[in-house]
Amino acid sequence: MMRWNMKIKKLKEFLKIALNNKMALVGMVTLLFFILLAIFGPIFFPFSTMEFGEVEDILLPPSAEHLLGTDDMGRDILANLISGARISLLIGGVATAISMGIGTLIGIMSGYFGKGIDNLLMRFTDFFLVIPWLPLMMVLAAILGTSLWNIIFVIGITGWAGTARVVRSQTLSIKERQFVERTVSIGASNTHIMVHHILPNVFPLIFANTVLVAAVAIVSETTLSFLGLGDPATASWGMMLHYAFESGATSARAYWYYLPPGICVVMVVLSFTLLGYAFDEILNPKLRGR
Amino acid sequence: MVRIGKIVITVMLILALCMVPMGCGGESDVSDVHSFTLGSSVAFDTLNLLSSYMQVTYEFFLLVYDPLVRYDKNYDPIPCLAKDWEISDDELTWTFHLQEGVKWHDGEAFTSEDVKYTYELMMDTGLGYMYELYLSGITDIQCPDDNTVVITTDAPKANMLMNTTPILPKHILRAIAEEELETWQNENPVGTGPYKFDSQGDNFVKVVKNESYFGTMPNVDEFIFVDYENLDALAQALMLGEIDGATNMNPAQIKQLQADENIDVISGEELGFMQVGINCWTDSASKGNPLLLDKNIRHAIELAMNKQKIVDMAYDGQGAIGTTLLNPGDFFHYEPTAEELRSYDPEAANALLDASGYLDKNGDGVRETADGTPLEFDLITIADNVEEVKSGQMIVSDCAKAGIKLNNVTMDSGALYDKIIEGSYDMFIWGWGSDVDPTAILDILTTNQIGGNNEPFFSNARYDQLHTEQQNEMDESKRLEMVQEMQRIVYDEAPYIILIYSNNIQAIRSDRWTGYKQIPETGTYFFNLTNINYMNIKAVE
Repeated sequence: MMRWNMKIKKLKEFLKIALNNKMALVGMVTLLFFILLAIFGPIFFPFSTMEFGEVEDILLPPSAEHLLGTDDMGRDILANLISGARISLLIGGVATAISMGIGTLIGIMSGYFGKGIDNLLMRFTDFFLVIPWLPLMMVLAAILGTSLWNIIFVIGITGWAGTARVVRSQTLSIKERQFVERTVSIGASNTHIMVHHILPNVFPLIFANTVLVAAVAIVSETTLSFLGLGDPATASWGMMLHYAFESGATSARAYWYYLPPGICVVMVVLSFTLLGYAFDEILNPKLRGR
Repeated sequence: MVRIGKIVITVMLILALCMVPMGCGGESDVSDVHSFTLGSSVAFDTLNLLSSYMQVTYEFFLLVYDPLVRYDKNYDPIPCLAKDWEISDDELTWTFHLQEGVKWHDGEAFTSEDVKYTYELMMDTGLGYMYELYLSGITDIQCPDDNTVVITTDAPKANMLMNTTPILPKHILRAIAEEELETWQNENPVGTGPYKFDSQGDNFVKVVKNESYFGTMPNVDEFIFVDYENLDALAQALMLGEIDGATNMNPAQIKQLQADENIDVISGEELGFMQVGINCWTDSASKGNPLLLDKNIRHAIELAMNKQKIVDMAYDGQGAIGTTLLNPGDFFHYEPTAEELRSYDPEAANALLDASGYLDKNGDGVRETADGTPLEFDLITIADNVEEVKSGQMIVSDCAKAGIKLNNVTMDSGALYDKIIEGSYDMFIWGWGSDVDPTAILDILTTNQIGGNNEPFFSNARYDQLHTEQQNEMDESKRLEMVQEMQRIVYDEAPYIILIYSNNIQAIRSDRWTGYKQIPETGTYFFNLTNINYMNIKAVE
């Protein structure tokens, strides 16, 4: 009970700081808007990406009937955009979770055990750090085939190296602290120490990092889809940009086709980035108040 | 936003132009050199005819090399290196009389030995596979003198005069070891043709007029083939006048080009088709869904497809809906009768599946067999071909209405090729380019080609027999009957569902050039298996 009260208190404190931080506020409001859009949008716009319009519906400019016009397959762009929000946020969420999972596990183990294991795990991490991520993702996506879950998997397993590095350095400092030494002296197991003492202390750092990784994941999905490696059965924003480019919407000056998905990607990525920096500032007392 | 778009495109064009040799464009303005730059979205591969497979490279070969006979605008044979020919009474021996005084581009004399060498090289090594079927059946080639070639065949050869195999220089190829011929780069191609190879760069190939050509002289001094990776950049380059002509353009750009009075744009019929291939391999090694071996399911899929809508939406209306293997404009085309025709009819598709015992018993919208296996198949499309991907999505949606669930999977063409060769696919969308003589396209579905070009692993004894017979039938009306029966067999068995005979969008700057026409009448300006427009096009006075 005591612990819960403390957590709620901490959360309130955190929210108070967050709401006073303009960056965080803008980021949160934008992101919340897109999350609500993703959750409730399809309820108001029941829509299947496999339903095509008729020939006379192709590339219609914005009108009262189609607020954002139609695409090269006669589909309503607003409806497509809303459906794309769901896909993009799903990819951002799940791929980030995979990335953070791998990064945290490797970072904590590397920092905590040190020596040989540290060396081994960090060289493995360096491998992923130095490999150009885009060609790596493209090759993996091409080998695995283009389905939504493959794309998520590919982004997830290529984006964790930075997190592992950050978590490792924090673990190195925490494991030298007295409370850890005390826990060791009363005979706690390594797993116990890592899960109950190190993880809670590196968690704020992971949290701030997560938000930044999510931004990268969404950009990655857009990039892969734009290059034609996306799932053709889903209407993500990257796929919309891909189709717009391939079908000559740019030379046909169909700005209503390529601008909205581009703007949405920018806004979501920006909101994640703003939140990430804001969290960094909030959770890292040294930066606060500057 | 329009302004920003323009700036971006302009920057892209400047970058693209930096890669084109600037001298060529400049020269034509100051001197009398007439230079024609043809932009295309397809890239050159090797200039070695023995291993080349890209369409645009064969345009280059049409200019640099000569065959014994060429096609005229109706695809009838006309003399080229052979000035005339005769056939023996038993129809087995052909005598070709060659032009006299023909020189290779390097000054060596052309003789009948070059013809014998080229044909025998291709027949012995299997290289130059595009011409394989035009050389099949030849048993002996003799050169009684420098200007006569006598060719003997084991049976009458219907496509002998359709054989436009370019003649290669023996004196150059002889110096190369046979095992190296396939990978040989041919950096300085030497032919006898109306144009000589001049230079090659990363994205262009340039040819200049052969001043000592034996035949009628062309008008244009030089042709430059430039490859554009981006279709928007290609269209913009044409509108800005940086290039003189363009091929393989995006159908979506046709309206914009039509609005430009300086540009003459056509949507020309091209030989070939796009098809849905279905795995019909009966062998136990097949990894395709065995349900597709049921002809009724294949028929139902075709009945469920709204091909006209696919043509209109995925191909912007630039093509005609497909039925049989040969194009509607082709002399040999077979048009299914009203009874045979499976045009778009969702009700008929559902009725056929009902009658075949595939019912949706669990109410999930997908039909099942009697033992509960759902009618669910993968449909593979090539990721970077947006028309095919769109067609795939529309077929998925059409088939869902007939209770057949298709999963649209995309991959690159190399990966799809591997799956086809292994027989580990259900359905795919791809295309074939066709030829003037029907033998090549009909050969694809023969039993011999299983493991090769026979993508659906189709095998039909009657079809195979007719294929051999039509190649030896010198009577054109009898041959027509056989070829049409073959098309009817394929249409009925439906290993391929022919989706569309698509058009090639091509354009020429009509403010600068004249003297060109569509070949054949509803065909294209370039990429039509003839060099007629290259020879006849001339600058506007």
